[in-house]
Amino acid sequence: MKFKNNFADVLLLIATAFAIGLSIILWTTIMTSDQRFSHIDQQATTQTTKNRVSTKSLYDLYSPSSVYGYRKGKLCQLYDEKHNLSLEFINEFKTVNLATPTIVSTSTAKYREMLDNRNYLQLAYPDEVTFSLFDKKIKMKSGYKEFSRIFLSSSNRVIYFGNDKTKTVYRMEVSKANFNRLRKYANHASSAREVSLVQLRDGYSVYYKNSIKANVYSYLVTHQTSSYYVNRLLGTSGVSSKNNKNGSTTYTLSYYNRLKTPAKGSHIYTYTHYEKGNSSSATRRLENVVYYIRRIGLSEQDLHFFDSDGKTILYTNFVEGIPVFSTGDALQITTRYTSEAVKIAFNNTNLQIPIPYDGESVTLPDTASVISALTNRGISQNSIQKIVVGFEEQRDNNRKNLIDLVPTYYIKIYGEWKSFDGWKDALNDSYSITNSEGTK
Amino acid sequence: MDHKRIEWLFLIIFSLIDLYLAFEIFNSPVQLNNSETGTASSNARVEMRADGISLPRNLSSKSGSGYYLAATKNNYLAKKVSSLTGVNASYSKSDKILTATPQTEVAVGLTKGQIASSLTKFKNDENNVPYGKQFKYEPNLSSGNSFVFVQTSSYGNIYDDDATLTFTVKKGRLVKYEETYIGAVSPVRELQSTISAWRAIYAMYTDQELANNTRVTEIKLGYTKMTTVRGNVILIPSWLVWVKNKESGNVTLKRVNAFNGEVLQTNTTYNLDD
Repeated sequence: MKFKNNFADVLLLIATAFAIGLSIILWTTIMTSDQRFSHIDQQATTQTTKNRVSTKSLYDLYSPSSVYGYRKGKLCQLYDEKHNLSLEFINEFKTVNLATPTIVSTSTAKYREMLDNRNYLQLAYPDEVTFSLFDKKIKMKSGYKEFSRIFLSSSNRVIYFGNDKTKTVYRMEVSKANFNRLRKYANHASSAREVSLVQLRDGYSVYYKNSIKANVYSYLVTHQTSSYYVNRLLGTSGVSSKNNKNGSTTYTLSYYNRLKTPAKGSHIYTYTHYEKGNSSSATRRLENVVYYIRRIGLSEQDLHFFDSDGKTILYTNFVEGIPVFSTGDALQITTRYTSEAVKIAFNNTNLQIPIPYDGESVTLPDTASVISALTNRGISQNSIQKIVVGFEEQRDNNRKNLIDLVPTYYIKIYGEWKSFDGWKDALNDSYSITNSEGTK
Repeated sequence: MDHKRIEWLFLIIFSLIDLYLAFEIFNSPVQLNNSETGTASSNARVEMRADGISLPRNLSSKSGSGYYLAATKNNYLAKKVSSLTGVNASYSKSDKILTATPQTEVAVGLTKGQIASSLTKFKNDENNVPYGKQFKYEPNLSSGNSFVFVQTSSYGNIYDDDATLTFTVKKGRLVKYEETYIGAVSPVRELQSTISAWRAIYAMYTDQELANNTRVTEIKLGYTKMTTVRGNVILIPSWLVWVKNKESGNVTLKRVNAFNGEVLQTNTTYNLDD
């Protein structure tokens, strides 16, 4: 009897101690959670700034950037003047019922077989995106959450997905899919450039086998003012500002929001929002940018996902499937996630009105010769991560609101994107530094 | 015994506190994803209803696609005046308007249906109206004795003063017509996605372009002029929204850029010619 009483006393003591301990833990969790405070902050901001209407869906931001198919047994990059193949795919993909994919293979040889299979139409993303971005119900184990390529067979019941980095092939059974129109448009695409897919450090890059002729486009551009962004991101009350030496100004609202305006001659703004737990998953990081784009009030019209290095994600405008690089090789939006904050660098240049094509074009060399030109200058092939054809933004000195988009090669090396000429200059500088140091 | 009672009291109180705190933690969502947009969107419908704004039934939430189009500025109609054998025509180069009256009396009927049908037949004859087959009757722009036709293209109808055919009818007879013609249009860039009709209405509402106690009577996707640059007229896909004031009965036509949801105000001209 006494033993029973003692046992009940001990249990009561343990339960009481546990309840007190749990209270302390829960209380501490609540008090140290920035999310609660940032939530309050977000609500306040929503009330003070008028929300821009979201014009595009997440699907538009994360649509494939290029389409490939086989013509006369050769892999070609397809482009159709009348039908936007990528848009056609994503409009259909929106309506498809997705299921959890199964892993078909993880070998490089099998992946190569998929790439070389003439029966598939391939839609490539510029980098990895997650399955759950398109359907929250899809739960994949770690290491198998992402894909960068879609293989469309003649069947509307199965879609194959591929990851260029891990060489994983996934098979997904889908319903309510009908890609017949896309296949028809792809078969009759007005342009088919012969390409090969070459393995570089970050996956497969497109190599043009021959020199290519690419159009130069012009745009009328507009720039929003600093006050526009201050108002949208920080509101109108409680904002403090500090002028910096380089001509930029830093605006701060509480401890959680900071906006730095561009230095003289630049168009890049930097917005920092301090919030823990922002970078919890790849899907969350990819999703969050949609919120920030709308909150900043950036034009979403041509904006697409471009590149990702885990916690740094790049977005830029695409014109006819080609990414646009701003002056100084910057991209339209760069988001950087840390455990404490999300930092968004964005360009306030808006490609507002396209000017009709006037027939101007440039001829670019085949891709292999660009790579060999770089390796001949001392860059090892292993350090070349990606190569793409991109538009270089060239401003007209006489007309501030006019820019030309001139095609050129862009290469990612050591985590940095630069144009071919940019890398040549950088390598020349490093040579001259090395040489001058060597002669001292 | 007292000690035991205090322990029970502590256990009950702290258990309740735990429950409350746990509820607080699970009940404090921070949603940064696009679900916020959906909620805002459904709230807007309720708010619009409360503001006395009536919307058409089955307002589509499905996005579409469209092009930037360009048309070269030219005096297209001036060259056609001499070939018009069914009408007496004159062309104003400054306004770019062709005005014509029928050479013989043209009966068009008395009901709107009859008149529209007769005028369609009349304008399809190249001897009467240059490029007439490219125009289509638009009842939303027509009123009283004025029957308006808009220029069509393979990409969509064009809603602009520079692409309009307006007939004046009196007592069942065609009096005259005035025509403007923007020329053939062609895409400037690739096909892009456009916002849905509902998104356009939502954009107008958030931009305070939909007044209280109004009714959206019609919403159509067409091409409207955005600007003129280097001798080219640039057209964009736009949602045309006809809004009727419930009290005064006045109808106004508003335009929303179908690419980015901006409410369009006036056209601007950029002169980039050297």
